[in-house]
Amino acid sequence: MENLFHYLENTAAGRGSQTAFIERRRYRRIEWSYEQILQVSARIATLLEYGHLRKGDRVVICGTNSPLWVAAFLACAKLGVIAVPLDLNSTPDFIDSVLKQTSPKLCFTSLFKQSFFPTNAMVVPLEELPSLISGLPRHTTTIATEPDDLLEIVYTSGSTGTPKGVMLSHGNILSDITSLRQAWEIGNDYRLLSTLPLSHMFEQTLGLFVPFACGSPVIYPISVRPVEIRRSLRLERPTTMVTVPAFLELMQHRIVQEASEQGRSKQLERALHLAGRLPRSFRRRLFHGIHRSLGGRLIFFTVAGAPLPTEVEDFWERLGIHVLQGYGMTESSPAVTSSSLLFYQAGTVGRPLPEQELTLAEGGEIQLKGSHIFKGYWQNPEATAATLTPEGWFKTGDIGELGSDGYLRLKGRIKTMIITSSGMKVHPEDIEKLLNGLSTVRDSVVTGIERHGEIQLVATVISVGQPDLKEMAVTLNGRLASHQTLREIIPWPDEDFPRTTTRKVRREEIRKRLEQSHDDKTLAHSDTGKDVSALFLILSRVCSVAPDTLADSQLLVADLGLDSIKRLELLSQIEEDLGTVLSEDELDQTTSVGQLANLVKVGKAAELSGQPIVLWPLSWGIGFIRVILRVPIVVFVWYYQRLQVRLVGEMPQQPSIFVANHTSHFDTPTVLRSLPFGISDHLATAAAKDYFFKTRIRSFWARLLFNAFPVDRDGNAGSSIAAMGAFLDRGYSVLIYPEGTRSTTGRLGAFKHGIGLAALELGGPIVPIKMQGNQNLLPKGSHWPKKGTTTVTIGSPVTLSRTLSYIQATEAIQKMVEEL
Amino acid sequence: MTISTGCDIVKIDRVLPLIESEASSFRIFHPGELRRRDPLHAAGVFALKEAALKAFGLKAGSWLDIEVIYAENGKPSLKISPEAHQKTILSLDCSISHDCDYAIATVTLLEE
Repeated sequence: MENLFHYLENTAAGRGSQTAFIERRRYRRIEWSYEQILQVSARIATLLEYGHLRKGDRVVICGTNSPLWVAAFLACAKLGVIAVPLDLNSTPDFIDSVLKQTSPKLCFTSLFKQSFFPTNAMVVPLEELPSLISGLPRHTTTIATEPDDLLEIVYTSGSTGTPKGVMLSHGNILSDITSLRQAWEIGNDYRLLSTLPLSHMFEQTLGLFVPFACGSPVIYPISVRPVEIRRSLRLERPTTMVTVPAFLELMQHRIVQEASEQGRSKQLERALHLAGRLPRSFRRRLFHGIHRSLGGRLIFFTVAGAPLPTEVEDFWERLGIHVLQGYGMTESSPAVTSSSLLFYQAGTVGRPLPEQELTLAEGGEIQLKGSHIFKGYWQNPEATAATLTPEGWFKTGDIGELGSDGYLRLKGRIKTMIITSSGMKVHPEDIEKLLNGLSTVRDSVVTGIERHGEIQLVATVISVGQPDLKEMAVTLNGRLASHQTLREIIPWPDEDFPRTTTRKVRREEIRKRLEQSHDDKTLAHSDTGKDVSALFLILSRVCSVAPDTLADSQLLVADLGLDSIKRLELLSQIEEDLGTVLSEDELDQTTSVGQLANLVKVGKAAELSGQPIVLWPLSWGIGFIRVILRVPIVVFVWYYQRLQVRLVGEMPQQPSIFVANHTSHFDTPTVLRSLPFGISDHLATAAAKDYFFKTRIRSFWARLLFNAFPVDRDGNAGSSIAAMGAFLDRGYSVLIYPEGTRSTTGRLGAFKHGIGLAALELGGPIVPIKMQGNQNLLPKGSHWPKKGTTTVTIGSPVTLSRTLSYIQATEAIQKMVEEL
Repeated sequence: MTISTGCDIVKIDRVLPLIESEASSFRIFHPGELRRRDPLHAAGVFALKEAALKAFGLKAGSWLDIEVIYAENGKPSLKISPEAHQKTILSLDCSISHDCDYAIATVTLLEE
């Protein structure tokens, strides 16, 4: 059997320059080709070799999904080094336990999680990998592997709380990829949006290896928060997603809620009713508004990880989007059964994959055999013996029914795991163990209930005495991982929990009762909108107050005790959860909860407008008109201006940020005259929002003639940087005047520090331009030009080091212009 | 000539959520300031920035107008964005201290 790296390298042959990954960053969107990703992983392999990593050594990878994560993983595979992927949200205790078990020689992690790793471990932040590998040669050999050689150890938390490492070999993963490719027969015309962590096998096999092998690009969003997923759907227009049922429920909830906010609930209901009788293409036309908000090209979801409620499946099918259910687990690499666009039956998890064995043991327990079944638990022979029979059958612990048509139906789970909206797995037993350890708790049940369109963890307890449950939740949450956070602890009204005859707690019954009681309560306060209640949840978390005690009239500082740290926490959570970026000086001593809700609403409306830039000025036709219209402008300037251009070094070969001094309205035409046509016709110009974009007519002409975009001179630099990033992504260079205004003395004014921020965050080369003479031709305040000479000096492109601060970067750029 | 001072105290574990969230660390810290992402170090930098905001009288949220630089001997110093503060600085000094759960910082500024 081959090495996974080798297999993927072979499948990528012939499409080296095609897009393999689209990486969404804060201000940029980077496309990675197959060739690039293989090249970067070969360089990381060299780095690993320099670090004396050999076949069989372990390397932890704990980071957000990104092409660099993939490259680090593939580098390990190439050398036969065993990867240990860990979820970024793992608790320090969990990480500690995994580190003790696997003794890795190296840990790749995110800058944000560095503090979770012991200082004596060799830790490399994934963000710093590009600078570490730059200049390193590509590692040319790929280690030959036996089918049993381990590729990775994937940790599951296990219901007892001790992490269990599932050993998966190169052969396991390759077998599952082959089976899936045979069953699906998919081509390269898909685009997948990745939303589950790559430390989960579903995301790895179905969301990474199979699309990679088929030539379908994968999109990695900035984060997996709902607001960013919606933005990615709209802007990147994927055709498919691998996800969990809770996520589909969340999206369904949102669609229904939006219809009701617009007063179109009845209309939606009627359309859904009618859709059942229409062919798929008609359904997609009927719901074109909803499809547009999802990007318009979404064809199917692949769902696994938890049972899919029939009504959720039915809802999406009526909209015209297939929901393909599959079944599997980490131990089976992971796919066992699957549906596809060709074979599919509602209410089932599909058919067993080719070349795999599936049987139903006594009691209907699903048991599996085949080359995709794991090699056992890492250093845990007892656990291995408990799940793998001597004949090689893996006992899944799930109960199913195999129909005569060959489709598998899941009848129930022996396991009680809760899958949250973000796909995180929570074992209620872990939290219950902590709760039951408290002297004031006799018994407890933790369950996931649907509230505000997401799965929230709620505990219900039978207590001894009358403990303060709010305080109990706060204390307990301090000891739990973020994905285990309890939203509420509710007293159970009866003397005992409902139980089966064998004394097992009937969890589903408890969940339903809790959900019911909550629904009744929300009906009473249903006048607040979704975002406001989401905002209340954030406020209650940050300020440690109960959400139902919050009122619009309360002042953030005086009533809720919002200090500078809480203000930062509040603003970042609003940014991350609701997608609205507010600046800190928008909140002061007099801001009330109601005013904050308004700010969030206004910001939300602006965010929904979509792209960071207006796209019509970039069309081919407008570009052509622009070239024609610029002719009289250039002739006019030419009549008054004798131009001398001095070029220091080379012209940039890639989209760059041109930084110039500013003394006159002649400056932009001067730059256009000085640059070669290939650059000047692909140049966007930063222009003052309060001047050039004051009226619609003015902004139209600014966009048409100079491809201008607005810069808020005194406001948040974020939107201007996002616009610059969008131009660079589309192959346009950007011209900016960082002084912010025309200098009247001819001397260079202080640069706004937004330019340093932009240079470092966008990463594009900076090209300094110095213009001398325009202040005499058409100075600030004059309306008609005089004849004269202008000297333009264009410097060489410079890429600034990421180690600089924004202030230092600004100073460096100012110096570059000054010294020309 | 005026003299201004600023001070700030911060509980170290309150800084942890700020350095674990990209959105908040992006608002507060320059890329190089968090090379070491341990809460003790971050709390010192945060307290010093807050003290500097007070001494310079900058508006809330001007975290990135201030940069904290450590000399090799561990002594912190401050750099202020020229755009945010145009007066001539005659003398500027700062200090950070940690004890148990808290970090404290002071800034003294003499300007024209």
